Formats: sequence, structure tokens, C-alpha cells
Amino acid sequence: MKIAVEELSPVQRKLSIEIPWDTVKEELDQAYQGLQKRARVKGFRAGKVPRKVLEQYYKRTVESEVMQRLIDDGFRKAVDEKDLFPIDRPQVELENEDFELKPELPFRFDAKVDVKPEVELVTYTGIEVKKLVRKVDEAEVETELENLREKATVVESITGRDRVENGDLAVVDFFGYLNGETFKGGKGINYTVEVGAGQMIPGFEEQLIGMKIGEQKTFNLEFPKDAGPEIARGKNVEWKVDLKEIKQKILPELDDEFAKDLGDYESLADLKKSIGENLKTREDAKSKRQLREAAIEKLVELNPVSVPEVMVERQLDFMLNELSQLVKQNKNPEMEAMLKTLRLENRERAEKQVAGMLIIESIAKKEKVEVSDADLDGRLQDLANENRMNVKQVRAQLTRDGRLENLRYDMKQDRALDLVLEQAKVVEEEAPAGHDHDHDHDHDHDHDHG
Amino acid sequence: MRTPHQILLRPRITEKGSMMAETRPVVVFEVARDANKSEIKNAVQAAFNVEVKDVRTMLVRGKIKRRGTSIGKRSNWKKAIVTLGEGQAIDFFGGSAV
Repeated sequence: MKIAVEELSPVQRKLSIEIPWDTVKEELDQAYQGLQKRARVKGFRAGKVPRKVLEQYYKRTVESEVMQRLIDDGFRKAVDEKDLFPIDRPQVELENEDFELKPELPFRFDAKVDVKPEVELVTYTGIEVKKLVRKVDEAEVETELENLREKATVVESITGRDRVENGDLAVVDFFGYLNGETFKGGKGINYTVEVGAGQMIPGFEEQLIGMKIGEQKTFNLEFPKDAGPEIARGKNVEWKVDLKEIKQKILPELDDEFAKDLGDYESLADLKKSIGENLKTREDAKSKRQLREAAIEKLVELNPVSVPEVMVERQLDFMLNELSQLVKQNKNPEMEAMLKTLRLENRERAEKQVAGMLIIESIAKKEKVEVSDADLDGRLQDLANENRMNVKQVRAQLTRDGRLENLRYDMKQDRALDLVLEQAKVVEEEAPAGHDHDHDHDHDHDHDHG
Repeated sequence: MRTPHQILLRPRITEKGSMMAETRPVVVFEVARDANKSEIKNAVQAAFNVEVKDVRTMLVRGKIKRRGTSIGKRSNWKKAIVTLGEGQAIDFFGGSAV
């Protein structure tokens, strides 16, 4: 078998393959032999049809089958021999277009295929990467603490007074009449109103202030135009309200007792410390993620890669997987258009992700990063612990989904990146304070490789 | 005069026929009952543009077939074994390239 490779572009190769007649003949003979066993032709007993007759009947079918096989095998072997990583099916062109195998002549064909590009690693050691770090400050701990306190709120009946004050929780039955008729959404039994919280229609809560337990009150209120049940909007409604009980929210005191109630905390200080630590872990994880992203970005910047179109498309598919599924299910032209725009918008990102992936792959190759079976087992153990399953189950499931190798691949990529980071110059920098900028730029791998 | 197609009814491509064809270039036809050897020779030569060396004919008696109580008989027919000139052949499938 003769193979010639022509580089059409960094990501595309043209393979010219020539298969000698001997091989072709062998394949043909085999195909006819197989056919002879199966074929039923009138005038012949089953299995006794001579090759000549078969050739007359089935020449085209047999030859096209054999050609297909020759192309598949030839392409596979060629790819193997020339160490190429095709990422798509080849486009095949036959030398002679009449789809016939010429006796005594070698079978020639060209196959154009997109390949994983060779990444020329310019530099990946000692790269400068910014790490955004944010210190957890006291105020954040306080907010967190306040949230906890809010959660621990107890509702208690008020004793000692029987009139509603602002800030109380009033338990009421209420009925609304629109032109003397009740309507849907205009009724509540044992309904708790937080007076002053503004959850009811304007004016309602104010009317409750000063009411006595057991008192009934009737008043008119207009529904706002943009809220409430459809039929009542903007209309005047007569309300009958029956006050049954007054309650109040009691926030627990922030003291050691409160801390103990929440769990294994000795004191309030202890609790604060723990909150601080949690927040810190979260921030650390965030800056770690950010650092990895930044490193990848830097690598992409420093090492030019030509990214094959197919891989970008696939990455986009992967990114927009869920949405595409949705669009496929209900053919909504609006959503299709949206998907198209999204694809356009995310294109650059996808390109960068693919580039990053390729670069890290080649770093892994160059640095001989390997993930042994033992390493993989360890990771499986972790996963099993996380999901409260045993290792066997996890392994079985991943194998079933065909994701075991992907996991290994991810680990390998991670380690290669770790390596880069070890040798990188990390510049710490104060992250812009304020709200969470928890962007979802996770580096998603396209799992089609090899 | 009858056209070749009125004389040559259909080729018989069978195990027996192809075995015979392995030693000499022969082709087997089912022909009209009343066709004679020279008519067959001429018909084959005209229809397939080959040289015919010899024609042997025979009458084949239809088999008696029964299914349950009912009895039937297949028609009698005439078989012609046509020997062609050295190295010649008839391709009933209309050219090997197609």
C-alpha cells in the first residue's frame, strides 16, 4: 500500500492511497466466497452458484462493497501509519469515477480529512498569570451571620396587647367582593400578613393597623392596574377582614447560645471563624478556577494554533447542547434564530477553548503526562464517595456512558495544566471587590478525541 | 420468417449449463417447440452477433406435479444447446461495465 500525504492546510491533509491489485483481488475473492454461501439464484442449488454467474448478477454490488471496505481499511491504516489524528470522516475521491474495480490495476483514491493540528509549543513555562485574590472581610461574615439569624427566626404569638402594630404578623381571614361578587384570588383563610412588608395590595396592610383581635372590618380598596387577578385589576373591591391572631417574628440573639444551636460551635466567635473559613474556601476555589482560566487564556495567546473548523463546531454543539435539543424537539423558528445568534456569539469562545485544549494536549504529550490506572481508580474512589456509591457502580456507569476514557483525558489535561502553573509566574492581584462575579467560563472540554 | 425472439424464448442459466460451459463455449436456450436447428443457429447469430458452431436440440417433457389430490403437468418444451465459436461468449446482462 502506497500512501502519500499532502498538507492542504495546518488542519487538513490529503491522503493519496494506492492499494495493489493483489490486495484488491483478495478482498474480491473473499466477498464472492461469502456471497456464494448466501446467494440463491434460480436454476442453481443454494450454495452452488458459480462465481462467473454471481459476477454477472452482482458485480456492481460486490464491487462497491469491496471498494467501501478498501477505502475504510486503507484510510485507517494510512492514518495509523502517518500518525494523524483525524477528527472527522474523510471526504473520499476515487481515481476513476465509474465505481468499478479494474482487474490487474491498483485501486487508487484520495481522502481529504481534517486532522488535529500539530501544535508548535512556543512557550508554556514561566508564563505570567494573574491570580485574582479577594480577602474575606468582616462585613461579609456579618452578612452571612445575619442570614443565618434570619433563617433561625421563630414566630410567636403576641401576648400582652391585642391591637395590630406595624411590623406584626397578622393572621386574618379576608374576603374581597367585586360588585358584590366574590372572585378568584380574592379570598384568604388563616392568612398571615406581614404588616408593613408591602406584600399585599397598597393600603391593605395599613388598614390592619390598630385592629383588635376578633374585630371585623370592612373597607374599600382599589386594585393596582398591574397586579392581582385579571378581572379585578384597577377595580374597586370591598374587603371584609376578620382579625384572628397577632404574631411576631423573634430574631434570635447573636450570642454563644445561638452558635451552639447551629451545630458544633463552642461560641459565637467560633461560629464566626467557621463562616470566615467557609467563605475563604469559596473564594480560594474561585480564584483557583480563575487562575486556571487565565493560564489557558495566556497559553492560547502565546501559542498560535490553527483550530479546525469541525472542532469549533463540535465545541459549539457541546456548549449549546441543551438548547439545541430543545430546538430540535419543538421546531420553533424564533428559537432556531436564537440558537444561530448564540452560535455566532460564542464562536470566539469556542475557538479559544479548542485552542486551549489542543495546546494543553500537546504539553501533556511533551511532558509525558500520564494517568495510570491507579490514578484513575483513585479518582473513581473520590467520585464514589461524593455520590455515595461504590467504586464498582461508578466504574460501571462511566463505562456504560463511554466516559471512562474522557475522565482519564480530563485528568491528564488537568495535570498538564498543573504543570504549567507550577512553572508559571503567578502574580496575585486584588480582585475587584463587591458583588460576586461568578462567571461561568468553565473550561469545558470537547470530549471527542483520539 | 420469424424474428430471433420468436425462436429463442429465454436463456436457461443453470448449474448444469454452467458446468458444460466450463469445457466449451456453450449456451443453453429454451426455444420454440417447432424451431429447427438451422433456424436456431441463425437466430443466435443474428441476435447476439456470435458465430455458432453447433446446435443440439431435445424435447423436454414437463414434469407431472401433484398437490394433494389435484394433478398438473408442466408444459413440454424444447431445449437447445448452442456451441459457439472458440473464445466467444454471450453476456445476458448487457455488458460487464454496467
